[in-house]
Amino acid sequence: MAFSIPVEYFLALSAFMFCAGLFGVLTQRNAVRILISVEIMLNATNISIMAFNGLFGVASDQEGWVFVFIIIGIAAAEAAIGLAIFLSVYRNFGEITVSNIFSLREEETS
Amino acid sequence: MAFYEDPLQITFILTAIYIIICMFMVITVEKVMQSTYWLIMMLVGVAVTFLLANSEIIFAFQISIYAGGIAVLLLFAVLLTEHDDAPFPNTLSKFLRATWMQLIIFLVLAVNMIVLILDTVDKPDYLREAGGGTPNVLGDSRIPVYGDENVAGAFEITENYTLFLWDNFGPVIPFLGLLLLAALLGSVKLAIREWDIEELSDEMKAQILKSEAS
Amino acid sequence: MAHDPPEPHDPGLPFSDLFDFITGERWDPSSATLILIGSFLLANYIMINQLIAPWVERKVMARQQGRRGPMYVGKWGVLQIPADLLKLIIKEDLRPAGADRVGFFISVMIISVTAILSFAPLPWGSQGLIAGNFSIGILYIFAIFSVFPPMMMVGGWASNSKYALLGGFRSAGQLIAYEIPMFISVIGILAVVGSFSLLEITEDQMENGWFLFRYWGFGLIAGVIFFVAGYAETERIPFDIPEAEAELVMGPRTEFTGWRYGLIMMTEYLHLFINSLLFIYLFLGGYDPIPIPLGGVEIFGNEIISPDFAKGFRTNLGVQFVTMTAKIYLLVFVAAWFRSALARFRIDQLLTLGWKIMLPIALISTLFILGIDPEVQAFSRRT
Repeated sequence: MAFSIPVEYFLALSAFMFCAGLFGVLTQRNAVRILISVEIMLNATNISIMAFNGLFGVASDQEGWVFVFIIIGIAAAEAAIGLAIFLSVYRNFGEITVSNIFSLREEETS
Repeated sequence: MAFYEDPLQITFILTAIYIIICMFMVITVEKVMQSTYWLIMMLVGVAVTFLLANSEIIFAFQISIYAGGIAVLLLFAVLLTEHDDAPFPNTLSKFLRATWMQLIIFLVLAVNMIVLILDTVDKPDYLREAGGGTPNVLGDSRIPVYGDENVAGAFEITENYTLFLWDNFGPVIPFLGLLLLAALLGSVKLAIREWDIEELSDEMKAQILKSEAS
Repeated sequence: MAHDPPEPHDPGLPFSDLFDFITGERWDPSSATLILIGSFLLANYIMINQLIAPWVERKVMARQQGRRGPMYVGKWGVLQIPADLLKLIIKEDLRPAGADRVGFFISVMIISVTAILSFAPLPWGSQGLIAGNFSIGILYIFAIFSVFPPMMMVGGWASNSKYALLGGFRSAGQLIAYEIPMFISVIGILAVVGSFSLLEITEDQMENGWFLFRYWGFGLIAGVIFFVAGYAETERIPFDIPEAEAELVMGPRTEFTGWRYGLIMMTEYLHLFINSLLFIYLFLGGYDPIPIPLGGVEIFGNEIISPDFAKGFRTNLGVQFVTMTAKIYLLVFVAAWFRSALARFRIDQLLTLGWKIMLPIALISTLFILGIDPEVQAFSRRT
């Protein structure tokens, strides 16, 4: 008896995670929380790439896994740079709430 | 076969429920630090889904780079900065008033994407494009990994993957390394603090003046 | 009476040959049963050894300091550690005021569970004495271990104590600084063997000699780097900066009492075991009792030792199992020796040693190993 997981399961999970991550990005005001939500979205794309690789790829060609590998590496670089930026922003402004940092534009009138 | 007869599908559904619970906690929990450790738990759950999609080696990458490396970076950044906690208002009515637009976007997008994906995957053209087989990820594909009587398939898959990466994407890996090195140096440059000598205590000041003089 | 020769077992399945070896007849249960039985037996063997190792360590330290060590509970104090454990389990479970409940719970649980899980791909003999033969073997151990530093930080933050928080910072910094030279010193060996599986690494060492004595001394350099880095990962003296008693009480472990403290101590000794075992498998020949290659030794074309030296003795399952246990206790003895002989580093000295000294040396030794080995040369020139 061969057990198997339908690819729809992976894709539905991935879509739900992506939208939830997007919800987080749109609602949060804390920069670290926004970065965390972006990580959720990246993981959602990774899951869907793995599923499509299982769907299309055969045992000898695994481009999907290479993409996932590169995405994970770039996510590490992105997290390092982003967190360094948060530290220097915190040092200059005293907080990392993104809606309160507006030194490059006029003050909010409302 | 119904999903409750298949142990792999049950495993996947349990993992998905675990991931969704952790994700809910990440977004709604009160303190940023709590959010971070729920994120670590969620990343481990995502690694398990990679394992269910036939890939042991991406499982190892996910855990060691995401749950090990990026999580430590996030924890350091969270502990070295101050936060105003509580992302959402306490009561439901205030919550709805504050985020009704994002909630609508979330719901419409999620329902739309899931329905669209399920619709597309079931079309016969798509299945033919995918090689004629049924759209399954584990077990029914050519090399079963954790099916009964065939554990050695995993060795073959990992070897194929590493050789494929080396032969076809060999030049990419040095560039990835260069990118990571640049990110390391850039983040060190950004995070390091330039101090004035007036900020130091008297002992440190004397020590530094002495070392500069010598 | 003519027997057909039995079909060979699936090489990926653990323990099947062991049960044939014990019962004397062929025994073919399903793979899930075998994996369950094997994991149960090996995990219990490790847990029992984990109770004996602290006693050995205390006795060795006491002998080196001119004391007698634990003497009262049982013969020569053998039962001292189980008695301590019993006391810890029946103690009251305290949680500090203001502690984060979930973080306080999951940090200690994840730390101890991952420590036990790391033993899965370690072989204890050539004939399938292994709990789970993964294709990613050593990478799996490194991956599972890398969850430890963030969980240490979460535990330190969740205890709501300044000592625990500072200790968590120090712990994470130290573990990250030493994971990298540890892994880089291994890359050469992985490339030479062409496999992540510890079983295949050990078989290669049996065939061609232990990695500690190969490659004109560069194997030795890589081995020393790996041993020191692995020893720093266990957070013991002289690398016990996260829990320096004089400064930080007990570091990130300060607020854990009762069964939580028992689990934390268990984790410490399991980490000592994991690092000793990794050093044994990668450099000390694994379950091979004699450091002479099975392929024979030649010096300038003269055969010094013929091939297949003592092969029957070295491939015996019992001999291999006893060899593994003896090598672990040898390294536990070395650890106790370090602990009584050396003094603690300062935090900046520790980070300097990790990033500025051990990382470049590990890179150089890896490059030399890759340059010397003919198989790697042949692989890189193919296409």
